[in-house]
Amino acid sequence: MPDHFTWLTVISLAAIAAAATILIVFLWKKPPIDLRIKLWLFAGLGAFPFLGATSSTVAGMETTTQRPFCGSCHVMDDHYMDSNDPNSQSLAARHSRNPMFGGKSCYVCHADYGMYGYAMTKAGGMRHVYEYYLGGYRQMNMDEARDKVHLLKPYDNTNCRQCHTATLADWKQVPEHVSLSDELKSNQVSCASAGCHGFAHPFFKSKEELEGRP
Amino acid sequence: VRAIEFLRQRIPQSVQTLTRLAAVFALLGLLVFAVGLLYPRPLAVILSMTLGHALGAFAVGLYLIAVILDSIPASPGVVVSDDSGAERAAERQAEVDSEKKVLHGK
Repeated sequence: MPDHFTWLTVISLAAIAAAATILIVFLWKKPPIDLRIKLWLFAGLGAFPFLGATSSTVAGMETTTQRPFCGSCHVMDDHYMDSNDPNSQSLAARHSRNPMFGGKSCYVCHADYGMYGYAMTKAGGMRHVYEYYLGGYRQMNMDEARDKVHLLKPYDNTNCRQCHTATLADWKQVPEHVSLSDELKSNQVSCASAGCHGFAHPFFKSKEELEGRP
Repeated sequence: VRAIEFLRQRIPQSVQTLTRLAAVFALLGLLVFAVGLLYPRPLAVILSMTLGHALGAFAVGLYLIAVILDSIPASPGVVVSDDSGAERAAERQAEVDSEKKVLHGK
């Protein structure tokens, strides 16, 4: 069974199959429309499709949070392969090996948080699709992608602090954390930068960036 | 009511036609849903959540119109091109004719 199959996918496919069976039999046999047929059509046009549509939407939204989904565009090949590499020590790969959320590490680390975070993240995803199919990303090779594909805005440290709360005594004992507290809060210094915890995707950085030069 | 009479006059066998159209559109919508579930690539998922829902909603709309057409009787004096009633009348007439033939034959 494919990885993206969940119980919700199975429910959705079952509902779709039930509705399709009713409708195909109706179209094939062309029965006169009496009360019995109306009730069958209510199931085939209303109840089962409604169940199929709602469950497939939830399953689809869930699928969009999975790492293979993010890696399905070729410009993300390097990111995807690195996150799958058990020997990689990049920040992204180490987070992807976390059994709690590793399967959806792209989404967990890049989603906007806050009240409208989910909707804003999905809207941002639509921009990615636009850029891929109409913005030229699809025609790029990986070398071009490394030069041209970047985050729209600096990575928000709040995303790191969803898990690493920065409230534990151990965290506060690190001198850099204390001295850079304001810069970290205002995103002037990124947790995932050279000299701190390292880049999440170092293979997408220039030599200057890796060495911490502007 | 005028809209219903308009539909009855314009669409031959309106209840049957609309119901079959609804079934066809619903099948197309279900196909789009299934593709989005089985091959979850960005375009397939987006189409499933947009085109799939639009086709499904359109199909349900057509079916509701058909149900309304079927449940509201035609106004007197209006020539109805609809169906199931006309079909049943034609069938009954054919039965009567065949019975007459049998009687004449005897």
